[in-house]
Amino acid sequence: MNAANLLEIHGLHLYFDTYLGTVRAVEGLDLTVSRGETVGLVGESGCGKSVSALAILGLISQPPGRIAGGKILFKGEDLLKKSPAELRNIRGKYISMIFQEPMSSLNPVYRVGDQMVEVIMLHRRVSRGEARKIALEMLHEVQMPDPEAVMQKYPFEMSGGMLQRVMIAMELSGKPDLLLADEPTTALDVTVQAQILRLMKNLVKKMNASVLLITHDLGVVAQTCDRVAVMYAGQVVEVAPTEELFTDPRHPYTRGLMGCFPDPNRQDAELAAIEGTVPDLINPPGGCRFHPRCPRAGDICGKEGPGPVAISDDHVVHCFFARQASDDHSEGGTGKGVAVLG
Amino acid sequence: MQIWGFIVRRILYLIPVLIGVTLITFALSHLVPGDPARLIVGQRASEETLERVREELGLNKPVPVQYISYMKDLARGNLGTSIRSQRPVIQDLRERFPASFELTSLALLFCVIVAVPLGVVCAVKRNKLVDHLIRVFALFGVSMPVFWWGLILLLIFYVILGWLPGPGRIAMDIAAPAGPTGMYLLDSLIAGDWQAFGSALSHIILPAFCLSYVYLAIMTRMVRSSMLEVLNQEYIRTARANGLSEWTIVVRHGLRNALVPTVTILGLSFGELIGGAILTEAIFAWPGLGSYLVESIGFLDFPSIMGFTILICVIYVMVNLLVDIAYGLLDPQIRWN
Ligand SMILES: Nc1ncnc2c1ncn2[C@@H]1O[C@H](COP(=O)(O)OP(=O)(O)O)[C@@H](O)[C@H]1O
Ligand SMILES: [Mg+2]
Repeated sequence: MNAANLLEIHGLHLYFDTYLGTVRAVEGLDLTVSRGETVGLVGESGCGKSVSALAILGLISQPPGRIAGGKILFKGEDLLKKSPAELRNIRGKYISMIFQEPMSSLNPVYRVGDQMVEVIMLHRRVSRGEARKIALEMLHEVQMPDPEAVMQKYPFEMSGGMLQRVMIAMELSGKPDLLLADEPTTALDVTVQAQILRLMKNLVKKMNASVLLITHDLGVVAQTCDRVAVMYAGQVVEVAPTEELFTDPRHPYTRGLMGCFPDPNRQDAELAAIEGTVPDLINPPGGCRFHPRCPRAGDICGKEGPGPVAISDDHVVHCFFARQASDDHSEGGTGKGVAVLG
Repeated sequence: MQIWGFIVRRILYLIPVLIGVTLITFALSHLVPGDPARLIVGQRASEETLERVREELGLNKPVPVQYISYMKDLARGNLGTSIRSQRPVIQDLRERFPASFELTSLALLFCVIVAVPLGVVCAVKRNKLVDHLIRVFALFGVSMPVFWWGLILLLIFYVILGWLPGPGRIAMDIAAPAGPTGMYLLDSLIAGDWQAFGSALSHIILPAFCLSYVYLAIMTRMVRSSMLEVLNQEYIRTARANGLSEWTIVVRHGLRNALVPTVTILGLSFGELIGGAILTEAIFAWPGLGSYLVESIGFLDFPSIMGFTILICVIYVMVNLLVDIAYGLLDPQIRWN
């Protein structure tokens, strides 16, 4: 393990046993996040982004979930080997998580302030009074107008944007090393999204925390992330520094996404359309999981899974044709398909 | 504080409800059964007597006038005179009410104390062995009629084992505690009469358990299912992601939300039981409202039946008020709307 890496996921296999069969939601996921770094995780809805993040915290309920293999190293220690008590001690304190729906992420029957205080007291071992002070400070940090009044409010009295600020304040109050943000702005008004994102970015930088940012919005990625991992059907297909991913995408799937989003400075592209449909994860396609939809697929693609191909030190692609860089970025994005990022 | 405003609003809502209730009982007692005067004087009374009673009761006046005087009587607590006991109905009810209230309260208290933890355990250990065992136990409760339980329990604990006394509220040779509430347990405590307390307690155990079993079963299932629903909510996931202990998550974050539907069942059960514990009261010779109703029906004691009906309606309305207030206390969102 590289000492600079805060989180290393190696070959994670995560299955769900359902009555229809085993959903192979994550199959051999590799991902690293180093200290102070923000890594984006992008991919279509259902490709396994959320469950991967939940697996890091040990929050996949088993059954129906099942970790079928792999390692999740956090500061060099395998989280999959931790006892429930050890995991609890890590959650919220060293690794915390923000979810997509701020409106339903807080308990409706307790005041916002009390919920923050509860978490702060748990992780910082301070008195109630001190915890209140920390909560107020954190609300101040997320630029919440009138923190005192906010502490007294119930979640249903607040807007989604305000609640997401509360969530950020609460989740960063334990000074975590790693923040998992699962589509933190997706449920918010467009006007609020950029604000929240900027605020989160600044605060995280100030605290020198690392972030795994799950999003379907390439604009968000361009604006926020140092590196990006593109996920398809439970696997990472391409990882690259943000700039490089946008200028030199190698995987046909990444190119498909880019086809609808050629310019990293544009922030309005939300939908990307790629021909074909998202694969059935109970009977996933053999070989490369993308090959049935791939404009470039050859005979080999249906037979073997492509291993990692290093384009440069930090640009890795899982494709047999990765080295045949093409200047033609438009081939995947014909705009006819039905796939929707999310 | 909003909670007070909320309570006042709820109480104001009661006014139309109570007017509705009295309209219905008025219609039942004055309009439907033909001639209440005839009921009172009996079939063989002469026409003059009938007329006189009619006049006494105001039955010859226009209906709205009758309703107003009916309301005046109600407000004064005048529910008429029982045909059977020849005493004011209100006095009969006042005598019977504490026995029922005591029995029902104890049964439901027992029910809550047992059902809430059982339901929570079921939800947390879903589909594990304990869950199945508790559900079988609950199913047993819902499937067996109350009188069956009553007779079996009496047979075992009174006839065979002799551990508990038979029917009645208190042993024959012990003086019923004279006290302000009419509830033997409470009155004997107030008086510091331990002998009476022990006797009353041993008498109430079987009927209370018997009465509670069915509701206990329903409530266990209710708590289980609402708890399961709550534990699937996103705020529970947040609580887990924040590293809170399972106990805190289940009790503080889960149970409080899951209790809202449970409180409804509790309120409805109370309203149902207070006058509807007919079988249990009959088996255990419990002199409560349920047995009062049975006796009154057997006697065609119309004023008593109507008095009983009004009392039960009022209790129902009151219990609903308490349920609403409990909602408001449990779920802040409710007091806002
Ligand atoms: N509890 C579950 N039971 C069965 N399948 C599940 C469960 N949770 C997630 N999945 C499946 O895992 C896959 C990945 O889901 P998810 O991580 O939520 O996708 P996303 O990338 O949109 O966040 C999906 O195909 C989903 O159907
Ligand atoms: Mg998701």
